[in-house]
Amino acid sequence: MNATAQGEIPPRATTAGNTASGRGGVSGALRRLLPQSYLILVLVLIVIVGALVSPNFLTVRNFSNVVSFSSIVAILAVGQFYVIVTGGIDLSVGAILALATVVVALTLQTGVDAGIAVVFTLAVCAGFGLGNGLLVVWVRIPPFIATLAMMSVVQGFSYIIQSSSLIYIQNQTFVTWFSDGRVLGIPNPVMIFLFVTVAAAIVSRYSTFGRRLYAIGGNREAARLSGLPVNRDLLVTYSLSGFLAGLAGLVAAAQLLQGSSLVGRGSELDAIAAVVVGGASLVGGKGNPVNSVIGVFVMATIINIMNLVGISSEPQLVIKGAVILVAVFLSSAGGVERISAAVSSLRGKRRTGP
Amino acid sequence: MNQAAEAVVRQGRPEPELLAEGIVKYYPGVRALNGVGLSVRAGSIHALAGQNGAGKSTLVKILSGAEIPDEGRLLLGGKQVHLHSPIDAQTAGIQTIYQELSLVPELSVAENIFLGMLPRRAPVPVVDWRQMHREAEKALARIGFEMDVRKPVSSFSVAEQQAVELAKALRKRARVILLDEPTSALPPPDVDRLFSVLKALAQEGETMIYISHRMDELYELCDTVSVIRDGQSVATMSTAETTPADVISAMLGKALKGSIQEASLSGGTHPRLGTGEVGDVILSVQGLAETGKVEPTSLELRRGEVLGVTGLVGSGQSTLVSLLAGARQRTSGTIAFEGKPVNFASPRDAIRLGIGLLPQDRKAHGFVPDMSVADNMSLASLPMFSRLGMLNDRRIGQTARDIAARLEMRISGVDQSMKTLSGGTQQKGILARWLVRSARILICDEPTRGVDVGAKEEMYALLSDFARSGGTVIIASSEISEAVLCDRVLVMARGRVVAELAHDDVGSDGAEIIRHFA
Repeated sequence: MNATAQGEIPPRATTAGNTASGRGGVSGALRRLLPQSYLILVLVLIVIVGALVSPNFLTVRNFSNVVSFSSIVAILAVGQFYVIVTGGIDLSVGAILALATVVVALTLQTGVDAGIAVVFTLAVCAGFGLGNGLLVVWVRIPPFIATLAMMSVVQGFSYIIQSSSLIYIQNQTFVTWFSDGRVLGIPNPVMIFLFVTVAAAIVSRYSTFGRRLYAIGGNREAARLSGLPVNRDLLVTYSLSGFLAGLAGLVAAAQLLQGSSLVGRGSELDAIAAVVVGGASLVGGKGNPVNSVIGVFVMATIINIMNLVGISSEPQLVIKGAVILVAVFLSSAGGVERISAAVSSLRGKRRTGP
Repeated sequence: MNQAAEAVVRQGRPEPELLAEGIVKYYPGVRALNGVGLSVRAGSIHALAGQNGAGKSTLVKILSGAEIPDEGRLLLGGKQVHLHSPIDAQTAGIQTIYQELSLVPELSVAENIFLGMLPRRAPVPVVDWRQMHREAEKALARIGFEMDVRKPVSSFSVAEQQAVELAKALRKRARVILLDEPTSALPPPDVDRLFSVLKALAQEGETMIYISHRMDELYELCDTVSVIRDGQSVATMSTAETTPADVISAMLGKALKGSIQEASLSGGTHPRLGTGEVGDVILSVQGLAETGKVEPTSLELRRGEVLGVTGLVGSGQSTLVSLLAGARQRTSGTIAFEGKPVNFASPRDAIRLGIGLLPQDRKAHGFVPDMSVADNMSLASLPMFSRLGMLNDRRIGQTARDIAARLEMRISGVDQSMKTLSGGTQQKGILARWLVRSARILICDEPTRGVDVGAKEEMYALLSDFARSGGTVIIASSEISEAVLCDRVLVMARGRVVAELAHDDVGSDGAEIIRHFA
């Protein structure tokens, strides 16, 4: 048991700076790195397949389409990652995203400054996230149930305040900020999600807050007995998830030019799937936000290729499900190790003979 | 043929009940077992001893079918068997009773005993409850237990649950019963009862393999001890002709002379962990209580002291020290640190004052399994290693390497993940967490539970060092041999401190302590 555990990589601890401790030469190094970087390989493979099957795939236009389309889920996935790494889950992010579109559209309708509308919306969304946190920490409801209930509450709340079918957004400043504008030639939504991803990566890898979240997800009681502010950190994490869902909602609202409680239905599941495809464990304590975002792109690229070659949406769902299963088998279920163990035992049998 | 097998021949029983020969087991990069042999005579209780990491648990896994050996053969009653799964082992007749009981708490005693083979009544395939209850009662009666077999298992004590497990094993065709640390959760009176049951079963011809870290148990119960070290069988001896010190020497591969445990085992002089010199009162407690667990207790702890809190398992010693570490919430009472009243609302408050806890359940509460040794060590001192909320991993690694070297931790590097370490090394890692934090009071709840003799000795030496360098230690322990090492011992019974004994008054075998139990 010990020895099999030694074969695998401690999830994050060995990443930067100390790869020199490798044993077993090239194949050993490869075996240790493979589970870590396999996602990139998978993405590269998908891109190659895409280039082969569709002439339109490797075009700037298609590329920017995929990235813009993915930025919303990517922002959600980062927030979801933080919750999942603590051993929780946040099912309310899709509903909070929709709420953000409604709230920002309504506030803009009153004619206030775009900046104020944005800050207000993000505050409301973080507030609902905090509500999740309070339910989990103080009322001690399991995260799955607490955020499921919150999802329903938020959906209903959006309907009520929306009160009409949908609300158009005409504030050009807002639309420029979150959709049309560019910085250094890069569309703003992409800039936002890049910023969020990089910041999240730094926080999770180098900050005390990030380290504490891994500890809480890895063993909550050990974290508590080590004097970590577990409750406070969980409140911050759920608020952060709400905040990022709000941010994703702002991008969605600006792209759609409307606020509607129907936006983003089911996107929480896309985000969770991406985090899991990115190698995080729902038990907590494992994974990193960059892999979660790569997970988003793996899914988005596959869907894009299927669209380009004209596969209709029903078979797409089947393929999407299969991709999730294979990816999770390879990453968190230890598929790479299991396959290589099976191969080596087969080889061993052949060598010694029956 | 080894000694034990020869003994069998002498007694006119040609075949040992269980014979393992040349067992080899590889794990990636490690040879866990390197040609281990074991010969168990029918009707004997055969002990298996070895340090953690010696290969003992791998052998147990192979015998119980959980692991498949790479080489070697296994004979049961003279016939070779191939065990590919726990079910194979059970069908072949090897029944294992694990440290953590494997009963279904919600099901009745009878259902648990018959799990997977409920008696059916023909012609309609319905469960024959009456027969099942009768048989279950009979199976329990055989080992001297009388229980309401209709009640769920969860309503019985650990000792009774263990009896259910034993009855279940006996109900199946048991050629060999494997008992893996069965006494680790039992209070002494129940241990005695279990032993008399096991002895009676041996009289009836049942064959047992007994695994335990506790030498006194091995010598009370077993007739033969096989010692495994570094994946090899190093000795098989008769308990009638040897002493526990011989077994421990074989386990360690060196003589035990002059060690703390040797002194404690031989019962001559009994050493102390502390210096015996104490300073001012550092922690004082008035009427501290947790309803239903600990009665109002008052005590004073002095700087440099090693205070033992002992009692039978579940007498409240663990709860009391957890209250002192802020890990549990008191229902009444006051705590003062260096004369100033403090409120321990969470472990954080106690840690801020330099009080660190080594929790009893190391795996569940002690460390983050997937994190590296370095990250686990720095967990309580993150602000020390950070600026503006950003960690300095190089300093964490440096500090961890220094401390790991000081504590002589057996690790490949500080980035090795904590879950891959042995119990004793993990315990050192948790201790290191408080040394990094420069804790002044260490509260150790059963610090050497599930830790092998070698690691135990090292743990005592480390705690002794800590006390000698001016640190203060509280040890909660249900092991008398550990309590006698302390400067002062509080004896607890039913949540109440019933006696306070100075180091010199406990008596070398702790007789004074035992007198206050019950």
